[in-house]
Amino acid sequence: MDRSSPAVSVRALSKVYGRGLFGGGGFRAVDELTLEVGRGQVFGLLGPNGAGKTTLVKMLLGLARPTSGDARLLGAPVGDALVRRKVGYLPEGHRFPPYLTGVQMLNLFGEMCGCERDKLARRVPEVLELVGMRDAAKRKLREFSKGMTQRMGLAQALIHEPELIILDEPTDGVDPVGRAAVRQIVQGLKERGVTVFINSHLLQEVELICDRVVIMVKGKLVREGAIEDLTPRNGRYRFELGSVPANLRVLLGDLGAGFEAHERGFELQLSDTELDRCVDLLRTAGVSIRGILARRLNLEQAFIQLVKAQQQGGAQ
Amino acid sequence: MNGPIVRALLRDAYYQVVDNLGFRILLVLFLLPGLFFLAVSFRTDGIWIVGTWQLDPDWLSRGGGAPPTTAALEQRLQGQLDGIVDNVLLTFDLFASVFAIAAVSFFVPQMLERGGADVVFSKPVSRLALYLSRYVAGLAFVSLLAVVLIGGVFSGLWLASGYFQPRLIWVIPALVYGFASLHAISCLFGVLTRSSIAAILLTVVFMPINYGLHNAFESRAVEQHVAEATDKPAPPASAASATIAVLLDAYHLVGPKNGDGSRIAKALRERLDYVAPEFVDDDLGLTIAAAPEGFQREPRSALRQDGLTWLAPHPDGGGEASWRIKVESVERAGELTALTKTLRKELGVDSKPTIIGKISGRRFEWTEQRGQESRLRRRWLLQIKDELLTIDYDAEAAWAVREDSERAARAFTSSWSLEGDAQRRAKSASYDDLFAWDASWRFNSVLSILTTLLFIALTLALGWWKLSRIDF
Repeated sequence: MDRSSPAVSVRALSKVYGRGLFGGGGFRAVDELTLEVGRGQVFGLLGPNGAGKTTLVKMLLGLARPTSGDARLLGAPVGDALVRRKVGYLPEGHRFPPYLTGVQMLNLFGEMCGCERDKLARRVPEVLELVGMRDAAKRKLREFSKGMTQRMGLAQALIHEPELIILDEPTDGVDPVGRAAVRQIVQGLKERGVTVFINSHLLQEVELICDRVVIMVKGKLVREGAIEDLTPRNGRYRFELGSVPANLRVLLGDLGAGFEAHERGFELQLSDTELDRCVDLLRTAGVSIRGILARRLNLEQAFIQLVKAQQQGGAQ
Repeated sequence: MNGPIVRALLRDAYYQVVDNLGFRILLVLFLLPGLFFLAVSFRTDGIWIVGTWQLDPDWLSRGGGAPPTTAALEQRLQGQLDGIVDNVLLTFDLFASVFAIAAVSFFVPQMLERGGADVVFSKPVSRLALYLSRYVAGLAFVSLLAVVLIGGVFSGLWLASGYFQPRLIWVIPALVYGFASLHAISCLFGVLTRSSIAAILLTVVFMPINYGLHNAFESRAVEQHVAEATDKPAPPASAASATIAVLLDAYHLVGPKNGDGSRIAKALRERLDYVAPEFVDDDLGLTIAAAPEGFQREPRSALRQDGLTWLAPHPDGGGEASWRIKVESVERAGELTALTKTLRKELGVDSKPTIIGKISGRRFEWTEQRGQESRLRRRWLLQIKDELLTIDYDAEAAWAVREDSERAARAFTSSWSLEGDAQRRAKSASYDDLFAWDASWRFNSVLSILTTLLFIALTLALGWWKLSRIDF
């Protein structure tokens, strides 16, 4: 397997469901998608419901057959059983064998991924500790809460020390403490050079975790880039002042819009010219400026804007 | 697929089975026959409960006549226990098939459920291996139950009744074999419908249909066998019944013959117990299991010449004791009725009715003086179509009426199997009688096994093909 090859490489990949007898019609869940995920990245796959994210993930894991195009994991075709030994997967809405205990499930899935017993004897306690499930590991999975099952799901995705981990809604049903733990685990994986591919609706999580994000709408890739690239400045500035003058609002006059005072300063919507004027006014009045922070759209806002624009574009 | 994967799949199958509530319930139920045979001892001196309470001291001696010998009681006990065990196993075979199918039919659909399938099928294990692992889980389910059932019955009978029968072990593979084809069907329905309820219902509906079609085939096959053996031309068949006959033949060849499992087990049990008989004559359907105790067969004697002869030196220095069996044509020897009359006049004794095997005839007993010695003579006359079978017993009277001599004589005649001529045998034959390793294709057990295994393989292949085309 070529170690210089990308972790995920997709070329003109399409999936059409419910095609007719002669290949016509059907629903195009993924449409000529091309993307690449480099090794060691934490990659986020975003999109509204029905965007084709899960279909893409399932094609990557051999759970669904592509209609056309090419997909590779770690340089090998997606159907290759050997490459799947190097991939961990936490599906959304998973159901684990209810007749197994946590330890039995980890051993089962570890062995299915080709791990020998000696390795599992070391790995199982390690992974259980990592996901905070050591105490409950000998209970049957049917007795677990949703959050506990989710943690076990993460554990089974990690048990065989994969090079690529695909996480579908990894923090679904997990409490805030658990979510922080998941973020910490992902960070740890990144530090070890593991590629993490996250498909999530929780954009705040993605924003906190991911280096790079792709947004899919209606089976197509509509935006791709680093978080900063996807979250542009929104023209709003936060001023931190040495001391807040009593006549601040009078001082600024009708400059800008959406004035909001806060304890150590204010926030205001300003154009570039207005920003210069604002600084001049404050300095002329002897107000000390400790900091100016250009506000950005958060990922959720950027995502909603983009999806709305795409949907409106599609409607037109 | 490497070692850890195979081990993992087998262990998973085991966990799935032992966690199953249906399995646990069946396990308890299947322990009951073993416990019953452990608690109830069947002996020649009666039926005993927990070795303490004697229930029925005469259970083997009923039926009138002289009190049977110990050997005869032991033989009856063996027969009774064979019957009881066969009934218990037959009941549990049917019971196990229906309940085991209900209990394991969800194995495949559960694996294919949304969420569950994503986890399992994303692992580096082929879909075929995963599918076969569910199939093996079902077989493990039934194998464990069969081991508990047969092991329990075997141990119970051995420990409590002293009835040691290793041949019972053959029932275990027979139960699994009978279940294997049904489970393959249930796995296929599981893949096609991806619904546990549908898989159970369709399999349970398939069972009586399959049984009914094979039963119809078997009835027709026996009728054809009788017609061929008796040279009776079959009545002209309508186009519809001829078509049905062809379809039944085709289905019998293609369909799973899971019911043959018990027949094969019986054949294997018999083969395990098989001891070459002392004498066999196919024309008469005569089998003599063993020589009379203490007698030696005359090497040159022949049934259709001077008669097959066994001789024993007299223990008290007198003349020899002998058994002779002779077959002559009725044309030469005379009809049974006429011969009986003549003999009655000659000897001055009345004959008694007798049955040997499936043939009835007459039996004479008299004593005669030969020199200083009084001889006990017995003669059986049996007519089989146009042949007359004569059995002669000749021994010194005082020696012959001794208990051990009488017991040996009874054991000898009761070891006979006399079915009659081929036509007669054909008329009374059942499918079970005709089912054999070397029989024609309709009754051939090897063909039955091969076509059933082929059916299982094809059904599994079809299920795998469908599974390989599913987009999860």
